[in-house]
Amino acid sequence: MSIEIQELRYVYSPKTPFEKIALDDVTLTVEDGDFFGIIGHTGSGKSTLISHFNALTRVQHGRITVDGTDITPKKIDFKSLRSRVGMVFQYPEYQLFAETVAKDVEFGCRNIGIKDDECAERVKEAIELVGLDYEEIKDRSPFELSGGQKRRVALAGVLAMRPKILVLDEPTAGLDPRGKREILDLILKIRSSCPTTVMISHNMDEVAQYCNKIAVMSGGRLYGVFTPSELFSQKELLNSLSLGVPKVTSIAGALADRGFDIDRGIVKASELVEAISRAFGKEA
Amino acid sequence: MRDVSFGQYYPVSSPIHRLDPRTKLLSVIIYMVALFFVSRFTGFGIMALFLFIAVIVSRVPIGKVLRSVRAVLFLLIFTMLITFLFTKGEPDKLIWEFGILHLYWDGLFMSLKLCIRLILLVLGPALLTLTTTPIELTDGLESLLKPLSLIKIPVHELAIIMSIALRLIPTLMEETDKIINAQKARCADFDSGNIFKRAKAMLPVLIPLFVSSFRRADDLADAMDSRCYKGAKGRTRMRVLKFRFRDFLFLFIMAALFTVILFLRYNWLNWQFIAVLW
Amino acid sequence: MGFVEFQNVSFSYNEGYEAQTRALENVSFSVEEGEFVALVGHNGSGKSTVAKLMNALLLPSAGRVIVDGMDTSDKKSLFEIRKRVGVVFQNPDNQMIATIIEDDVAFGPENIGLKSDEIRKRVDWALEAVGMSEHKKGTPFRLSGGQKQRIAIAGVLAVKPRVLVLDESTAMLDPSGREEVMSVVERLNREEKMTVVMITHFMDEALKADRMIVLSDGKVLMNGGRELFERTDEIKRAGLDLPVAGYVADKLRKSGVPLPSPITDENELVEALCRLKFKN
Repeated sequence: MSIEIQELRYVYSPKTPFEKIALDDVTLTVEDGDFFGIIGHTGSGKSTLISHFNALTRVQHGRITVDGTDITPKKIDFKSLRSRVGMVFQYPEYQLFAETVAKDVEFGCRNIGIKDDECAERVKEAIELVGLDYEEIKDRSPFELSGGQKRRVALAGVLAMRPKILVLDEPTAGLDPRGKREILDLILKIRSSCPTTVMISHNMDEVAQYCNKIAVMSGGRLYGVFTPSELFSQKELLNSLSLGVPKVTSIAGALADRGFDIDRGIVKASELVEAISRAFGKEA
Repeated sequence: MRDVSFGQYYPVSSPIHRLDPRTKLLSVIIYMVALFFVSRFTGFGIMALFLFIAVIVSRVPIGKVLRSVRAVLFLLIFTMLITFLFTKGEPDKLIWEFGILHLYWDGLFMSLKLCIRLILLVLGPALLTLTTTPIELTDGLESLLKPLSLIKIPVHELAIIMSIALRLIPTLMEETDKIINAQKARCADFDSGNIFKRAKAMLPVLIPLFVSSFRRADDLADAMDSRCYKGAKGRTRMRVLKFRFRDFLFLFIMAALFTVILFLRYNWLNWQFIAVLW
Repeated sequence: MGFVEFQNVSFSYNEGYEAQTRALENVSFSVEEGEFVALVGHNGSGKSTVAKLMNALLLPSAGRVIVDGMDTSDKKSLFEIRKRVGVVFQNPDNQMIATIIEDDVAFGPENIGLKSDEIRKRVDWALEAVGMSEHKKGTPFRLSGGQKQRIAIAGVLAVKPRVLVLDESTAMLDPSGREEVMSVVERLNREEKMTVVMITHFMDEALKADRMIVLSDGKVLMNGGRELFERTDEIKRAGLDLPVAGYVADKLRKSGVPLPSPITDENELVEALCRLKFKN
C-alpha cells in the first residue's frame, strides 16, 4: 500500500495575525514495503504531515492519494481510511481508557463495525503480536501495567484494526535503551503482517538502523528523501539543518578524514567494526 | 492562537492597566453598587459617561468592551420584553391596548432603564477583565480577602488553586486535542448520534484526561514540595502589590461618583436643581 | 562523610499492603560537594526513588539518608534539607506553577520567605544562569521542551540549593533540548561549583559526569569512574546501552585489534586507531 503526496501545503490559522505555514509544497511517495523515516526538528512540520495521512488534518492545498484513493475531497470514508492507516501517536499509552486491556484493544475494531467473534479473535492476535501474554493480561486494567506494557497495549489497539500501513510518531520517546530496542524489534516483527511503516524519529541512530528511506524536513519544507548512507554522508546538509549524524557515521567520517580507507556512509555499528577490522587486516 | 490563561486581557499600556488590581476590584464593586442606587435617566447618563471616559483612558477599543454584552443579549431582550408587556402604569399613560395586552409609557421607561442598567452592569467588570490579567486579579483578590483567613477561610489556598488552574488550562486543552486525535485514529465517532450517544462517545476522551490530570497533580505536588512549599505560613511574594498615588486618586474619584449618585437619589439637602434635573 | 549519604537504604512502595513493591534494597553511596555524579539504570531500577529520597519526598523504609549532616527522617530539618537539595523532574509541563515565567521561578524563594528585592535578584540570576532572561515576562506555553526544562532548573536554582538533582529531566526532550539542558548543567557544575546528581538512562550523558553509579533492580551494581564503561557485559545486563565508541572498541579488541583501554568516547577511539595504524 502506498501514500502519494503532491504539493501539500498547510497553513495554521489562515488569514489571522497568528497565521503560520506548517507545510510548504511537500511532494513525496511512501511505497509499498517501505520503512520510511521522517526526521527534522520539533516544529519542522513532521507531525502535521503525518496527521494528513489518515485525514485527521484535512488537505488545504495539494493532493493525497492513499492506496489509490484520493483523500483530498471533503467527504471520504473516514473509517475505512483510518483502519487502513494505523496511526500511533507519541506516548500512545495516554489514550488508554477502558477497564480491561481486551476492551481497550477492541475499541477501534468495534468502531469499524467488526462482529463480536471476529473482534475477539483480532484482539487476541493483536495482543500476542505485540508480545504480551493474552490470557494473563486481557482482564487486567490497563492503568496498572508498566510503562512499556501500556505502550504495547496502545499499539495493539491500532493493530486490531488490521492496518495496511503503520504510522508511528516517535514510538520510542521516553523509553530506556532496552525498552527502545524492544519496541523497534516489535515494529520489525509487525512488518510481516503490515509491511509499510512510516516513523518519525529524533534519534539518528534509530532511523539509520531501521529505515530504508529517510525524509528530511525543516521549517515546513521537505529537503529530500534519501537512503541512510546517502543522507548521513552529506554532513553539510545535516549541519546546516543542525541535525546530528549517527555516532557510527561520525566515527567513520573522522577515520576517513585521517586517512583510513573507510566508507563515510556507514550507519551500522557492525559494519563499522567490520570496516575497521579490515583496515587492520583482521576478520571481524 | 491566544493563551487561554490570559482570558480576554487586552495588552496595551494605559493608566487603567497600571492601576493596582485591588483598586480596580474595589472600583468595580463600588461601581456596581452605585448602579443599584440609580433610578433616573440622569443617573444612568452620569454612570455611562464615567464608564465611557474610563474606556477611552484604558485604550481598549470600545467594540471589544461592547462585545461582552453579547453574552447577555438574550437575557436582555427577554427581560425588556417581559417588563414592557406586563408593567401596569397609570391609565392615562396607555400607549396601546389589544385584548388583555396593555402597554404603558411607564412600562417602556422601566424596561429601557432595566436594559441600560444591565448593560452598564456587564460593561464594568468587562473593562476590569480587559485591563487586568487573571494573575493580577488573583493576587488582588488574595490580598483583599486576606482578613478572611482570620476566620479560617483558606484564602491563600484558594488563590493558589486558581493560579494553578490558570496555568494548567492551556496544557489540558492541548492534551484533550491529542487524546481526541488518538481516539479518532481508532475510528471513534464524536459527531453522530443523539446527545446521549455523543456524551457516551466522549468517555474515551474524558477518562484518559482524568487519569493524566491525576498524574499531573501528583507531579506538581512533588515539584511544589521540592521547592519548599509549605502553605501561606512564612511565604512572601516577589511582586508586592502597592497602592500608589494614582490608586488613591482613582478610589477618590469612585467615592465622589458614588456620593453624586446617592445625592441624586435621596437629595438629602433638598437642592432645587436636582429636582429640576429630573 | 559525603554531603549526601545513603546508608543501607531500602524502600518499598505501598509498605504493609498487598501491593507492596520493593524499589530499593540496601543501597549505599555518597555524593561529595562539587561532584558531578550520574545515576544510571533501566526503567524500574529504582533511580527515581533515589531522587525522591534525597529531599525527603520519600523516607527510607530502612537505613538512613543524610544530607549535610541532617537525617531526612527528622521532620524538624525537612525544609533545611529541601533548601539544600533541589530536584528537577521529568515532565517539563508538570513542574510549572505560575503562568508567567519569572513568577514561576520566584515560587521557591517566595516559599522560603525572602524579601521582595532579594527574590527579584535571585530570579534574575537564576534565569540568567540558564540563559532564559529574555523570556522572563513571557509564558511557558510556546516554548520548546528544552526551554521549559531550563526554566524548571531556574526555579530550583533560585532557592540556591547546594545539590541539583535532575530526575530524568532529559528523557522527554528532543536531541537539541537534551543538549541545551546538558550544557546548562555542565556549566553550573563547572562555574558555579554546583553539586549535580544526574539521573538518566542515556549513557552519553553519563559520560559527562565525574562518576557513575549504576542501579539495577533496586541495587547498586557499579560505582566508579570512566573505567566502568569497559565492563561491557555488566552494563548490558543492567539494561543499558554502551556508548557506541565503547561498543566498537570492545568488538575490535575481541577481533584482535590491540586497542588500549579505557576507550569511552568517539575522539579517544579515533585517536587510538590512528596511533595504531600510522605510528608504524
